[in-house]
Amino acid sequence: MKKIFHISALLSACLVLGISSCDKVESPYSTVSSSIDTVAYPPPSYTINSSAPRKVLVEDYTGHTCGNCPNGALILHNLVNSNPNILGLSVHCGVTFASPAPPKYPKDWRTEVGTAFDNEFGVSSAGQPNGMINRKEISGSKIHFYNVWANEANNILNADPIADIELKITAYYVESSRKLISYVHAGFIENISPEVKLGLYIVEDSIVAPQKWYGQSLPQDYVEAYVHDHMLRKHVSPIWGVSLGSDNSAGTIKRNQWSITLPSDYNDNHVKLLAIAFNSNTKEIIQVEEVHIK
Amino acid sequence: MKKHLLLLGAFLVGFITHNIAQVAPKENNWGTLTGLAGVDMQYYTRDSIIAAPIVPEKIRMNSFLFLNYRKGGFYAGARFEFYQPKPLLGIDERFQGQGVPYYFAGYQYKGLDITAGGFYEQFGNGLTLRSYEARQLGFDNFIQGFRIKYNYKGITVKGVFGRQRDFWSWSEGTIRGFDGEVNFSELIPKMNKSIFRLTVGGSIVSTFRPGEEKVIGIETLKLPQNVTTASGRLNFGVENFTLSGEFAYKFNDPSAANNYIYKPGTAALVTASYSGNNWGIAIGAKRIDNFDSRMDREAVGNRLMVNWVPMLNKQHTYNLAASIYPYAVQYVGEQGLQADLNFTIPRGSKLGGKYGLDIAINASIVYGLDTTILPARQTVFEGDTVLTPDRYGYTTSGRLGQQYFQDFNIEITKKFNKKLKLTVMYMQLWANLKTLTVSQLGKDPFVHAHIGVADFTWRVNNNHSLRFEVEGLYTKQDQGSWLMGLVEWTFAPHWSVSLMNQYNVGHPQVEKRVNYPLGSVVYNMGSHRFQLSYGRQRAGVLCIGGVCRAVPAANGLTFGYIGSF
Repeated sequence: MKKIFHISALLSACLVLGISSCDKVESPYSTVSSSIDTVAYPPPSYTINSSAPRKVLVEDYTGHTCGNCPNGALILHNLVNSNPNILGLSVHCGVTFASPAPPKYPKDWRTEVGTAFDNEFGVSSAGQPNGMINRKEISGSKIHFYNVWANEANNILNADPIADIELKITAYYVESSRKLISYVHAGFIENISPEVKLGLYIVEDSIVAPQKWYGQSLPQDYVEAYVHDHMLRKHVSPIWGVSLGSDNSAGTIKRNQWSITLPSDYNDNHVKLLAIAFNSNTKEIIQVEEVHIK
Repeated sequence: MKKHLLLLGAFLVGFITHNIAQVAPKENNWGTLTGLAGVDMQYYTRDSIIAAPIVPEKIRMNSFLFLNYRKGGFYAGARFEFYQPKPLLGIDERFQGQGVPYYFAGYQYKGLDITAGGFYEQFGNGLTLRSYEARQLGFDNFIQGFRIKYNYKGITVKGVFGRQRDFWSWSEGTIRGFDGEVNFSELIPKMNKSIFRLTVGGSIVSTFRPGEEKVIGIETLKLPQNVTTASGRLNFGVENFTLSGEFAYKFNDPSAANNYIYKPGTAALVTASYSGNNWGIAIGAKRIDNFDSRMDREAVGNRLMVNWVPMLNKQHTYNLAASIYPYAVQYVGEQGLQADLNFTIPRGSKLGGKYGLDIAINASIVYGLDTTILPARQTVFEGDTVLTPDRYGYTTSGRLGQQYFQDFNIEITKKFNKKLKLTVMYMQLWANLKTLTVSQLGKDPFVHAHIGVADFTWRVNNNHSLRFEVEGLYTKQDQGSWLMGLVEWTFAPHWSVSLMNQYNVGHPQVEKRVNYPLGSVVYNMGSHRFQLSYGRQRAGVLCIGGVCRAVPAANGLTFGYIGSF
């Protein structure tokens, strides 16, 4: 009987040992963690500048075989150079004018994000060149020919020169690895009740590539070394941005960060980050900002 | 080709003469040495018609020699294994190599048994731990470490500690297990004399697998390094009635096998049986939920399995029934029932005749669990709202999920006289090939098949007997219907010659209605058996105890030897 007692004691000890040697993981079982090394690339400190200037985005929906498009691009170029609060974005899109047409126009400058924008607003199907000013509905339409871009952009700026939201982009770019870490602060200067979304995109200037340009007395209207500016290259955030929430009161600060590796065919000397804060429902742009990464 | 065949022939002659020269075991002061050896060798020829994989090495071999020495209470053994230049087709290629992975020594003293080195062990039904070898499957998960067993008056205690075989290395993880069982009939002398029998047991198995975190995309999982499985079991009997059951529970064990979920696992198994004078019945039920235990979180397939879930289906032996649509036990979740009824129509009755008539009826059905996957969790990541799976996994209801398998079969054996015996079997089968991925041969997700078998043995005289086997599988799905015929002539005591053909008579593509002829010669000599076969091997599935592997199509010459001394 004693032996049985000993065996039972041994058995119980084993059971206790067995049960206690289990690691019970409590919910949440996983964490979602940033891939950004915040020690090496710390988020900058930020305070709202309540008199930050309003900025407006003029978008040019274009294509390399669109012979009238450079006329629009020229207007955008002058507009952007004349006013630091007017930013430009060239969206190569559509089947008619932006498809590759080798051998003269071999590249496809269209992007997933550009096509998504074009599908949403229907710009290329309205004919190119056409564009939008802050994606704002003006006279019943968001889509406008380049002859009104300057006027409408200035109208927006003059109506209220102070921004409703301040955007601040901080970029860390590691040349050796082409790693691009970006922080975007959104500081609410005004109360904004609709949901606001924030998108971040890569824009490249000074891309030298063929372009069709009518009226330049060139053989087949072919410009072999045309300089494309403000070209939309890639989305860093999801295409339609991330939510900054609704019912944001003045003084609210929202920070987002992204890390990507810059594709090797982008010239990092000419790459900019473009941030857009927009009304989630109407898609109208509330504020826009850009920085060069170098 | 000729050169290879010559080599093969030379090997065979050498091998046979060598083995015949083996000495019979002798009990003397030096102890007892016993051994078991096996050779499977195949010469592969190209056969594009049956899509046999091309084997650049032409000849492959699996072989082993197991030696076991015993003197008094002391015992020791080792097994040499050889898989070169690669294992036979269908066997996991990670077995390629040669060496002595399995070796052990131990001693027994009174009720105590201590083993160091490799050992095979099973706790209860195997729900918490089963290490075993199934050579045909290419399955071997023995534990290398230390084991203590102690038995005293019906109380058995076992403790194991070790690492598991992982082809030619050891699992990174360690296994610790305890099992206790009390057989009250042995413990209490009074009970031994009563009509009641009772055995109660329990086991705890804990695996340690290093690694605190695992990164999946942007998620970092907190991993349990020590995972415990516990089970309790009971076997109760009154006269001819036996009821046995086991319930096992596993704490959180995220792994590749369960898509890294933290839901605890459960397994329940109940069987009841009754045996009468001329009949017996057994009914079994099981419910398995997330019960795939491995020595490595990343292990899949048949690698590093710690536990075993018994199958509640008949393991068929007739060719077409066994190896085209067998059921593979679903460790991630299943629930099933099986009923087995055997009876003999007594001798002297009208049906029974002089020798009686044996009837075996078996039916089994398996369903998946009815699960609801928990909604994904929304997390803001780098400013983005991302969705990550709820790592608890899913919830289950008591309802049935989708059907996996169904088998109804009846087998009748009739001995007409001393010379003639006939077995006939009918089987109706339904299989969900989407789930039983190992047996996914064609495009049809479900297969409904009827299988008929007639197996006729004619003992011509004391030395000669003939066996005829005819099988048919009828289905409109997958590869369509099959026919199979076999003639086997045995002339005692040494020789047996057989010819078999399988014909895919109903394949939906006419050009794939192919014959698979196979001829074999077997030579038996005491406990040694040599077999030489030539022909085609049909692609199929081999399952042993619900653990399966794919069998690729092959064409060629096969030599097999198995023998013991």
